[in-house]
Amino acid sequence: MKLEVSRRDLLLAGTGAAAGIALSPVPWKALDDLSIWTQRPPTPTPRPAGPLAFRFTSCTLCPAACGLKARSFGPQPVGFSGVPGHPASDGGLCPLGLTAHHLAKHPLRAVAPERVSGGKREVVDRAAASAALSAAIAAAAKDPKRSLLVVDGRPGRSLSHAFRALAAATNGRYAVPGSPSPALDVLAARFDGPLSLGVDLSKARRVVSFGMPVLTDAGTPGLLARLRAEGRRKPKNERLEVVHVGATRTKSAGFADRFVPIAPGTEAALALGLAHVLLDEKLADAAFLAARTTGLAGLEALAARLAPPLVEQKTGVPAGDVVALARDLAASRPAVVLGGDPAEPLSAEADAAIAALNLLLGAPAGPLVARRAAPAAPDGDAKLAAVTPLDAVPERSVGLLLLDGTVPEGLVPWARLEKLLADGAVVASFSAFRAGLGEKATLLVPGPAPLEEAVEIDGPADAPLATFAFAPALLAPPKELVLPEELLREAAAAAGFELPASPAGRAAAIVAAKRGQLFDPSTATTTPVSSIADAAALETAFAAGACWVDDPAPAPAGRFALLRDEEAPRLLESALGAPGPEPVRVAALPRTALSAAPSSPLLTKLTRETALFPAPSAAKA
Amino acid sequence: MKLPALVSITAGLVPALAAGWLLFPRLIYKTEAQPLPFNHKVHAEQGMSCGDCHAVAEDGRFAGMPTTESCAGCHAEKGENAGVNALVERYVEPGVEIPWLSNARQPDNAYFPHAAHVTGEKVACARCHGPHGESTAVRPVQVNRLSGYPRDIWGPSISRLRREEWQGMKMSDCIACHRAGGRESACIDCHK
Repeated sequence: MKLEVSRRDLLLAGTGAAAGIALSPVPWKALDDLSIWTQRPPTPTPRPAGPLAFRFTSCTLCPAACGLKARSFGPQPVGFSGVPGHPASDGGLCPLGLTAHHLAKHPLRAVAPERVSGGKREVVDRAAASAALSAAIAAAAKDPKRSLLVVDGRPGRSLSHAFRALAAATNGRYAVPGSPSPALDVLAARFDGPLSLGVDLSKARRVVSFGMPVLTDAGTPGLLARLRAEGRRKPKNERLEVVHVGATRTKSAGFADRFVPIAPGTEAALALGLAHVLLDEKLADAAFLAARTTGLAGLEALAARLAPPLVEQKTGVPAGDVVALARDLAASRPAVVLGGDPAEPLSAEADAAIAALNLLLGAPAGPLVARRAAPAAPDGDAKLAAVTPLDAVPERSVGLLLLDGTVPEGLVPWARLEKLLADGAVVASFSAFRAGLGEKATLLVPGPAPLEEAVEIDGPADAPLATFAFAPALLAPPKELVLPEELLREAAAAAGFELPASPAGRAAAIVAAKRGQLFDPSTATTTPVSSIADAAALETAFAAGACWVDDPAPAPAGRFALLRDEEAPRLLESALGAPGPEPVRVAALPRTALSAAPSSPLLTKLTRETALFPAPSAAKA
Repeated sequence: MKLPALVSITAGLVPALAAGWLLFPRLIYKTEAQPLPFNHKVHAEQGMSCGDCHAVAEDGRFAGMPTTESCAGCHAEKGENAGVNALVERYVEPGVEIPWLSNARQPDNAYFPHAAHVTGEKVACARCHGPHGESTAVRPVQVNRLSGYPRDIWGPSISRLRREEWQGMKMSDCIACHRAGGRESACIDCHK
């Protein structure tokens, strides 16, 4: 009998085989192994080998300059934590800082110069990069319609001095990102004398943010997170709470204790509505207003026009909520109101209304403190360019755009810079990454990645006390890396511009000022600068991760103007303007506004799945 | 004669099952031999414990595999047996580290501190490594061709059905033990 094997039999056998495979370990074991295979990093961090040690430095990923404690095996840091008692961060640390050691191995890290021509990216050698930069410098110096623009993300360093010297020598311009806290600047400008203000969050029980992402990428997010975590152990009426007011439910808004959605562009109306309730119900800080402000009558007349029902019409915030928020702010003093951020500034009218609100709450007698700038080394005799606001740079006037590696795209969006470029402009970047503004470069000369070089880092301009650290390096840079300052000087010299040596002596300036304390992170203790022998001793301390912190500035005597002349009509017009569309209630994607470096590939996993509660400070004396 | 449908299906099903359950585990792993034979049981019978060679130092570092120097402390000369002769000839005399292969190598993205578990929580070595001290020979390492990690991470059974709690070191095994001990973990605890 002949066995007939038909197509049907083959199909049935195939079906049986498929069922057999499905009932075997093959599909799910293969899937599991493949997923592990895809997660293996292309350049894994070397396995730690060597004695365990703890080293200290400051995080340079954003202006907050938080203290970092690195657990290291031999030369390799394997994990970071905050530094209790650190003057900048007091034990706090954000997810960026926690993963700082990943960035040297980031997939977008570049180590050799790259040039983009004809749409193609090619690696070039040092000589070619230097020649290209030199030619661009020479061309920019010759043609005032295609001049040099340098954008420096961290002014005050020795590289900054070289930038300013080059800009001056070539009749170019030198720009820095905008102020981190425009609303504070507006308030300080209302004082009847020179004044800089910082925010001491440890003195606040309520922080109201009008759009400023204080819990993710403005100010010192790690410190605020730590203060809130500590507050959770206290009774509810003693806790620090954050209220986020804004048109978009950003990540920071999601982290806040309360989110108040408002129609876009109606911040002035809400701020004046809150002022209305504070004044109408006599909840404002009367003693502060009497002693330290002028123009109360004008503000009262203005705020009287913005009753809660009208505010509800304009902003979309229910009248009852406006009243409740104002009462809560008054009852929970000390309170501070922060507004806007350089990437998404509020209107001048909103900043003015927020300034008035802070004065009604007496914030300058509480969380808003006078501060001074850190002592700086003198510029010497060198001719240096002054800072030019980016808004003052004419469009299509830049032939060479030189971007320092510290410029974060979140604060200086590419769309803003692109408008300034002349046709065929060269965009040179010193970023260590093919990311953010580094990705836009036509000539990328990658600098050291975070933690690979010692960096002078001043604390943020809105911190309550000025800080300064010479953050030591924790990693060795790749041998083939070209240091940006060396290449810049070489290229400038080849173009006929000898740049003056950058002044050393920041440590000497601090010692000479006899001001402030030196914080030792290994012992969490401070030493008065006046007892430090000389600049060399200070530099040694900096090399071990120490941080200088200023003494508190004396409280200024003088008054704040609640309203400037002619301001009331503008504020009223802004507040009573046409209502905007319904508040948007979608979640925005997170952005790292203050960091020029990309996020660690692990970062999204951390912020989605991990409850980060930094350890409380153990170092209060 | 036409084949009945059941026969045709079975003709496909049975070989596929056999391939999946018997052949696939052999193919997916490649075997790598250890550099030397080693008898844990003999050493244990001499009074040695795990910590004598695989110590957790005071600063928290884990010794891992013992160094050639620590073996040479007792076996500096040839003559005991073939294994010792090979040790002395190939590693002690030239002063070269023995390239032991680990059956418990964790992924590069996982941070596992022995100090926290052994010194801190007093977890017994055998809890994760099984009765290793009773073995008379070190097993060759079966390495997964796709993932690159040892078979012991998955466990000896291709179906992951564990007869013993120490069979398997995947993340789910670690988390199960942490949960049983009342310790929830955050990602960053193990993935630095």
